[in-house]
Amino acid sequence: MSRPRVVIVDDHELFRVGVRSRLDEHVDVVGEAGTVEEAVAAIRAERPDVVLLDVHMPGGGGLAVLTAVSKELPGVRFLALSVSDAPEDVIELVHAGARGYVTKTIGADELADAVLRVADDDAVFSPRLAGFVLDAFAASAAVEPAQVDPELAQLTMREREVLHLIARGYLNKEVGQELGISTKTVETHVSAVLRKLQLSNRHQLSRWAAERRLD
Amino acid sequence: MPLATGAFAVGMAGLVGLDEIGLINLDWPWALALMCVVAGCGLSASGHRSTPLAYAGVLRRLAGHPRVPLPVMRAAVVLTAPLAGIGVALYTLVALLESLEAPRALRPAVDWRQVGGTGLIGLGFVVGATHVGYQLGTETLLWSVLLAGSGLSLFWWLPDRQTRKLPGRSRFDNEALFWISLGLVGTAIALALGSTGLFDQAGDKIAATAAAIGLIALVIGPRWLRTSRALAVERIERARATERAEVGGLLHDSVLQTLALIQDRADDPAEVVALARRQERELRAWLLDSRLAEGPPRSVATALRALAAAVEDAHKVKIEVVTVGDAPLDEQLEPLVAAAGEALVNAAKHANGSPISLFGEIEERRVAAYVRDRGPGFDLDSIPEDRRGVRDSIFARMMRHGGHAAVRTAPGGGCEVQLVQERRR
Repeated sequence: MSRPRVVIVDDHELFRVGVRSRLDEHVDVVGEAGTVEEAVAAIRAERPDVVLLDVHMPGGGGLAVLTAVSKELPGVRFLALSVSDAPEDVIELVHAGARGYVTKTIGADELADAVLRVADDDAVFSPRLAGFVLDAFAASAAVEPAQVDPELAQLTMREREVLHLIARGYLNKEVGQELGISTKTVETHVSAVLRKLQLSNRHQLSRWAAERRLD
Repeated sequence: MPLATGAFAVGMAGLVGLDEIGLINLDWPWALALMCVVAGCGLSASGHRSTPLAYAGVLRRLAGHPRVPLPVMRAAVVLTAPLAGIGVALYTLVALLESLEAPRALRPAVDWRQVGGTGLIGLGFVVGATHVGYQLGTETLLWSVLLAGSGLSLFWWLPDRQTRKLPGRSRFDNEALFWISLGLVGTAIALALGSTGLFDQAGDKIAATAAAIGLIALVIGPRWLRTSRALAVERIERARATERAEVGGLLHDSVLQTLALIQDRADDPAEVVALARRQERELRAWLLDSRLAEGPPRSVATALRALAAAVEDAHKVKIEVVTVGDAPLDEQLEPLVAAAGEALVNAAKHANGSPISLFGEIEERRVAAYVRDRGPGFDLDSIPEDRRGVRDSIFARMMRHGGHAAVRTAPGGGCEVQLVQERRR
């Protein structure tokens, strides 16, 4: 695979410089942006493969960037980066179409790996995101079982197992070994969970997230 | 000022005298109107040149808003005054609406001579106008509206007690105007009451009483509203100040302290990382705490997090904590948390600096904790009996309390300790 083209969106310049130097040997960083407007302009101009998107920025944050360009440029994939552990922020972005979420404290190799996987159209679940999702689906199943579309809102047993192992700190490859399936199948399950998350009842999810602020 | 009063007194005395001895046959309303205008002009002219206000300053603030020049508006108020007091009533209404929004401290000083002069000129005009029949409504209505309106619009725009004492504001002015405005309103009330035929009919009495109560409410109401509003604003500001002080305290005690320590230990990367990590955790905890203070006082999830924090500090490792669900920490679950703590310490010792994962799964029937490191791992069977102390203590502790523990490891594959506790209802 050719080197993916990446745009870094973050309002802290120091952080952009740091990420750029960490990623430079794996990807082509074709643009940087510090505000929502700059980000939208840069993404439209460059049409990158992956946008590294900060969740918290003045002027609407990563969500504003995502909603502004995701419809018109479906080929651009977004990986959310956050210092925040607040589930409502993370879930909102994933719900709006981000392909995954990692924390800013992630190691250099892991970040590069995450970008490459997102560029390959895989979903990237950090242990924390896996925890959020398990919690969210448990909560929505417990609250209103009758109103939930069973196809969408329920995770299959396998998906639950995969998320469970990811939350325990297993990498996709290790999850595959543990469950006796291929890494590719693990990634298919994770993508399926992501799709359910994006299609599920937005209102329910945000309510759940707001209630779970303590995490 | 003395000149105006003097002229007024001498003029009136002279006219009365001439009328008395029959030299002139005085047309009283004309004479009164003329004297009022002359005295009013004199009084106004003797006022502070620095205050451009004619009365309470309502029109000056309004001027230019509907693109009407100030003199035109002033003329409109005066000219419509004899018509049942329309102009004055409107003036009073605007004064009321404006005074509710205007902060006390920003109010312009009002000069009692300007007020008195304007009042006298207006009085003269209305006396003259009614004399020639330029009038609408009964005498009682007209004078009640004029007196009450001029009193109230003045009253609402007076500074309060604190502002009155500020330097640069004439105390006499404000005191005088306070009593003038009350006098005007009082006269209006008396006039309205008196005109009802001295309470000879029950209906009149009720109407008169209602009118009086209404006027009193108009006097007190806006002041009371403004005071309560000012109180609310003050309360919010005090809360903000407290919060700022709290943030300032946190920054000072904790963040600045850490930054100083980091500069001091710049040559010890491990120490710097540990300091930064602890600071990050403290800030995060503080932020979350201030966002949501309540919640289970001591829950399994917070206990696991606290344990991880302690191990991070003591062993300078990175622990990623993920929890699903939560429950209060009771004696049933305490052994599991303690065992998780031992497993974390154990992992920190063998992980060689690689990150450690702690996953807590707190469900209704069952609580599980997984501690995983990416260290070298080991062959379980090859461990000699005497070196199994730590793991044995973890296992034994869980067994004693009806739970169970397992360890999964292989050389090169890291190590994972699994702790499970069924919950009794």
